[in-house]
Amino acid sequence: MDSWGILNVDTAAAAISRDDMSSFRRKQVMTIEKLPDKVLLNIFSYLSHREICRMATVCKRWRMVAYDTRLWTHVSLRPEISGLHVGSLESLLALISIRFGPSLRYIELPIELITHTVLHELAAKCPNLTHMLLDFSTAMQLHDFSEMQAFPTKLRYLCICLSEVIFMEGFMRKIYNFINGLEILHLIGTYEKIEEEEEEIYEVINVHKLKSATPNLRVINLYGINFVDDSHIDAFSSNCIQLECLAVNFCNKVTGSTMKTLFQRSRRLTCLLMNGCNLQSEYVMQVEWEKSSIQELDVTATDLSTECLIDMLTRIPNLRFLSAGQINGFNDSVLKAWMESGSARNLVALDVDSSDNLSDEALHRFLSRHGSQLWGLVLSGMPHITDQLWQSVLQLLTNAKILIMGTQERLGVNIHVDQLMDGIATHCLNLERLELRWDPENLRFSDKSQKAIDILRVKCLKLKCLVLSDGRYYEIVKANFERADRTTVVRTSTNCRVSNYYLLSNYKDLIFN
Amino acid sequence: MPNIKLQSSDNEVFAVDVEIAKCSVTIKTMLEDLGMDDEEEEVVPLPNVNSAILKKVIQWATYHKDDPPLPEDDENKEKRTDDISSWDADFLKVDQGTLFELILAANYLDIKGLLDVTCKTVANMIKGKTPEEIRKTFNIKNDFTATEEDQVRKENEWCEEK
Repeated sequence: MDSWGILNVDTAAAAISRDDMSSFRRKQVMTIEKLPDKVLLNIFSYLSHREICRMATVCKRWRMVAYDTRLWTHVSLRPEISGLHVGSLESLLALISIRFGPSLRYIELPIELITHTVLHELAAKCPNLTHMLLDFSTAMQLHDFSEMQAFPTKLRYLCICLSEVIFMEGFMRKIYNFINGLEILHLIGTYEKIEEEEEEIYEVINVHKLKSATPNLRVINLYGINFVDDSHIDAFSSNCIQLECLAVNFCNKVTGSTMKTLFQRSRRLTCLLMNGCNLQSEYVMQVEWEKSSIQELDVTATDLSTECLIDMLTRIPNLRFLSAGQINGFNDSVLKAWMESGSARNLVALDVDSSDNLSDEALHRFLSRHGSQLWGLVLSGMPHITDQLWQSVLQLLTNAKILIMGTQERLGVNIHVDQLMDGIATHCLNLERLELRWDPENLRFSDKSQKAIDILRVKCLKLKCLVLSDGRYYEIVKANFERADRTTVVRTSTNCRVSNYYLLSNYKDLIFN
Repeated sequence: MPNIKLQSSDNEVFAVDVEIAKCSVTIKTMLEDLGMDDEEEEVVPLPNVNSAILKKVIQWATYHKDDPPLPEDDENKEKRTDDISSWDADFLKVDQGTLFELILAANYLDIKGLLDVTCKTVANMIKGKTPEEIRKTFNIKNDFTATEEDQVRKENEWCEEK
């Protein structure tokens, strides 16, 4: 972003010295001050709130535009997110009524600002507030909410970042009466890898009471919460009949014992995400899959058996999205049975990362049949899947928007990345996100690589993200894209990951943090 | 393919494919309201756009004619500025005056895609600069008195890091 600014100033300066008097006069006339307020507002809408506040000191007109409530419809007061650090509660209260007011739609509050005075003010002054995030995760203790009598009543989206030790009941019982319009709920736990000795796990929020207060939930995301188990799924499914999307990723106490009733009750359930859950195959097989409406399923790292996978996949009639990586039981017979049953006819996204027991012949056969319908394909984490397989199937992946390939393990062979880039540029013109996870030492490229990268860059115009492992090849590709002013496309895998999740129909509702 | 004639403020006439011209909601509305059919004789006057800028606008619209319609600005708070395509970035390598005239034209002609990308470009020129640098870059006069400037700074202290 900074290089952009510098580039333009230099260009402008050079232009002034180059041009003749007539165009110079024209430039004198056309300045930023001539732009109407509405346009200045549009420009400011691309700046962060921190920058907007800084712009207020430029001149009177910019101050007026900076304070326009239309720029303050989505506000995060968490310093780590927005850089805005609220120093005084009084200034915040004033801002709520003056600057945010009826325009405010979305707000994020850090623990120090979650007080009854702030919430009262929001309830009173911001009638259009529909989305709220409350971050309790760093809480040492809860504020006193005994005097809280008001709370925003029009909320449709609520995200609560839980702490491990603070019990939420003192706060929650004050808001149950106000949140029955909620459609989207996120409860974010402090997800940590399980150690052998479990420390005491506290059920910090009462799900059974919560579900009674929120009958209109469509999307529920319980992320990495160590106390969530099958009874909580059961609780939600008993009251939330509109449920369309349920995510319990990394809630490792979930075994699936209440899945059958979940599906019986939730006729609208189309998306179920259970990455890292401790699913028991017998429970999964009890589900009446053929009667369900499920279209999107994530069972990554759930250790389901081969028998269970075959049973499940052949019985789900309309599966569009499947993530089933890191499952030992996912072997060639599963793919074969799935193909033969015809149930994969609507598949658009497939993630079989680290499926050690899938051979490349089986994958090749599957992709020959279904490759052209796929928008997202993840075949990472498998050392035996090299550029050989990819080269043979790229011509089928004409609709691919997301491709993830390679493994971080060191290989004995080298990946001919130039040919791979060439193949991608030839066939995958719809590509938006690409990740190559191979170790940089395994990537073999030549001095012709610049040409291959050029072709990729020029033909895959929709490409917004290209992730490579940090190393020599990454440097080359990054430099190539930067020379062409596509500065943000190329990233390293240390700070960026690509996933098929972009293809979920509820993706926007599921974004948090 | 039916053409339409667009006339700039300095009386230059440009023949443009009707479908391309309709990316401008202003022109589209004019055509619909005035019931203009595709007789080659019809000329749409655009008194607010000179020929040099109109030429560039037509160039942009022609390149982008097959773009999918832009999604409605939804509740998604993230407004990015790093997704300007290579072609657009090249197209907008112009002096400030031209850039602002393009913005005005896009605003008058109501061409959302062009307005967005030009505004993003200006936003990128603003990012990371101090107020003084901004004033220098854009030739803006500081019309605050010393006291007023102090007051504005105080008003915005709530959001500065300690």
